[in-house]
Amino acid sequence: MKKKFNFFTWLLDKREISLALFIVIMGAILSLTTDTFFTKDNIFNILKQAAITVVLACGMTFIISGGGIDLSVANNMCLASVVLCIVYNATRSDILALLVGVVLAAAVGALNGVFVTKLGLPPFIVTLGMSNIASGLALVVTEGYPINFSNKSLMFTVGQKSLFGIPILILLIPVFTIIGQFILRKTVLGNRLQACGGNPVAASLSGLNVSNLKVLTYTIGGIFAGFAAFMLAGRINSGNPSAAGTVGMDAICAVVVGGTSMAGGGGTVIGSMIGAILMQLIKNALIQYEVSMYWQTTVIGVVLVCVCALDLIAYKAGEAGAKKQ
Amino acid sequence: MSEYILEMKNISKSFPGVKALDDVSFNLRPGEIHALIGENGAGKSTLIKCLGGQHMPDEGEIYIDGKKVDITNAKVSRDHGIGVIYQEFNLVPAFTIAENIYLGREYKKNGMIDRAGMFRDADEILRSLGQENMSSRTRVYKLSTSQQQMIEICKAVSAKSKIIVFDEPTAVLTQKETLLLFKIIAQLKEQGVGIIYISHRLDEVLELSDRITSLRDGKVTKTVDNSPDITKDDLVAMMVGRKLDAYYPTRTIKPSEEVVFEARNFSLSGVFSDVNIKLHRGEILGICGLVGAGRTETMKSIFGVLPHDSGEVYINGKKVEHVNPHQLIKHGMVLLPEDRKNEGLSLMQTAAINLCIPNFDQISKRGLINSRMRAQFVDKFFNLLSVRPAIPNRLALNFSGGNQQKLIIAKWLARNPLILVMDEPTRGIDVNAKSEIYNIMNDLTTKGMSIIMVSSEMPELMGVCDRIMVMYEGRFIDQFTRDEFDEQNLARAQSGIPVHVS
Repeated sequence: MKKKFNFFTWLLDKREISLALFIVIMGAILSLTTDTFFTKDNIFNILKQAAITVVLACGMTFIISGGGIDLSVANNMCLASVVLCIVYNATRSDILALLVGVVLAAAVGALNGVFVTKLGLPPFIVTLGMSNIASGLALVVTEGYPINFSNKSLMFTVGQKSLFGIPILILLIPVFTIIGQFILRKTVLGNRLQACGGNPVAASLSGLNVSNLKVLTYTIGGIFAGFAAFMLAGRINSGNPSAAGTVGMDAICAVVVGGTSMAGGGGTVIGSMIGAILMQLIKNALIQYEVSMYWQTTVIGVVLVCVCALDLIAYKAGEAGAKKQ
Repeated sequence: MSEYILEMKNISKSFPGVKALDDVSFNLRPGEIHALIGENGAGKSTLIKCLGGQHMPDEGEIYIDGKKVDITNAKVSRDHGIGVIYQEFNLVPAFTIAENIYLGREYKKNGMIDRAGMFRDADEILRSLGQENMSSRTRVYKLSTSQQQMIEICKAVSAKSKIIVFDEPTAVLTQKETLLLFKIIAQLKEQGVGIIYISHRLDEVLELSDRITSLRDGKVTKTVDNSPDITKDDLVAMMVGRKLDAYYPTRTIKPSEEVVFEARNFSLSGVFSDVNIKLHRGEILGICGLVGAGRTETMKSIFGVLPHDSGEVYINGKKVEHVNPHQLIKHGMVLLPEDRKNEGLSLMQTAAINLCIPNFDQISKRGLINSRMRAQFVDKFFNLLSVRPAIPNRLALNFSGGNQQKLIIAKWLARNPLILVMDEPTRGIDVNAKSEIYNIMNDLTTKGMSIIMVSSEMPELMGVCDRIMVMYEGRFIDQFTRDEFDEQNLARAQSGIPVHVS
């Protein structure tokens, strides 16, 4: 019994490897049991759909690893995408639009961070409220109608065209993942952000400015949401205040499945990326097997609960190993 | 160059309603082990927190190596070479040992974090402290309590601390681990580190320290040089201002032959086996053993909190059909857990509520709580055990350890239990309160109750119990009656060498 657990916990520890393995196995099963899975179109489809979730999940990794949570990223992204379009239409400048969008989303994120740290409000509630605010503002600004913009824009290109035969959206997946992973795991700053999540008291006693660092995690989440807004607007060729869908929850699921504990302190951006792709793969699998689309959210929920349960078992096994000594 | 590595002069610190430190002066020489003793609430923690940067003194000055310093926060404290090892560790569980050691002082290489370098140097520190078998790549949540304490020590050593403060370090260590800790402290002393050692365990204080300072009610009562002439009684006198001659109450009754409780053939795979316990009416039965021997797990399993693979419980000769807390409480057996704060009380609720939790049947009529009955009930049990301060509406959190324990005892007394299982009842409690609890225990046995006491403190067990059973690696290895009590033999039995071979 004990030996089995060791392999098991190892697998959960090396989250990226086990997830990638899982994807490969699932992919293999799907390829063998259907003839619509392993086509260029389908694979591209999966990755294109996953792209925005990936970018949001990259940012969300910082927030959750930092011990917090942000339920407003999706609507933040929507609001930013709407404003992006307005700016683009007014100035014909993609760069300016992107800048405004990212700064706006970053500001919303920072605001969340400030409410959580300086005012001590629980992240769940604050960001839930902010989610509504952002969503409401997006509707107000657009008066409910999507905003159209030219298909000559860079935004459109990014959202719909390909480079070297691969959709740009897909090419952006490794770009944002690598940037996020670098900041989180390769810089001292990233390490400190994780420390604040793992044990804020220990971090504080080590001289870290925990509240500033926490605000930074929310701001980073916002920045990624801003870029995601650009990608979203491009993909649907409009600024649509209702375009969020379940992508916010998907991002959180991706982060947790990807190995970032809600307790804070752990996790990698690469794991979140793989998690996001896995979630999309599962949704695609349901489509391949012609399961009703309505089952998608249920299945994702089941996956999330299972991963949490397995995480807890692995953690307890790790702790129990210590008690034996 | 000052002879002192640390001087705290005339330190005073007040909080709303209480003067925690009153003109306290304390100094430390390099390479000296200076013990700080005193009851809970005497001001030791506050003094240390001033050193650690968590409090700023209202009055007084602190000098390090002869230079006046202002310790405004934890980082400043660390920069001045002070390392405090608190009772509650400050480690990031998800991080590796190395990341924890270098938190706030991370290595950089080419602008990026240099984990390889940190692993390498952290392993070196572990090695220098005799921990070659630990790898700095291990994540801290996988470590045992004593190993985590070791990491705290590594942190202090790595930061090249000149002053290291140990706050009750042995409370969570086994005897073997304690010896290892002493070796490390000796090593640090040799390197010229000044050590402040806070402990309730007076034996340790006498064994380790060069000087001893005692605090009482925020003031220094005495600072003495340690010498073979100083006894524990002297230390106690320093702390409480009078000699406690009746530290342990004399056992006023003899236990009867009648067996009031029996656990037969209890075992839990991998934790304990072949546990057979008989408790007589009026008896105080002690259970000792090193941390990890399985004492707490055994009692919890018998009480039904943990499962068991086999075993039966008999109370007053009658078998208890379902071994779970509800049934056992109904049959008259109660458990006062080791983890007082998390398992014994609801700290965020008032003392009154805590008293009432298992006793609603005594304060309610027809399913509704009667406020008069409740008030009378709460008053009665507050007075019965002299819980202080007598403010029932104060949060349980705000009572001292000793009074918290009294609350737990009172809560159960209301149910007229036959058997009380007390797991480490006086851990972390000051001398006066300990004495009170021993008296309460003795008193309860005169009223027909019987007690099983699990404890790690040998003197306490020998002073209070009628019989001691020794547990070693999950089995009961030996048993001593009161006239056979001997610290050496008990220690041997605890380490696996039984004296009585059956």
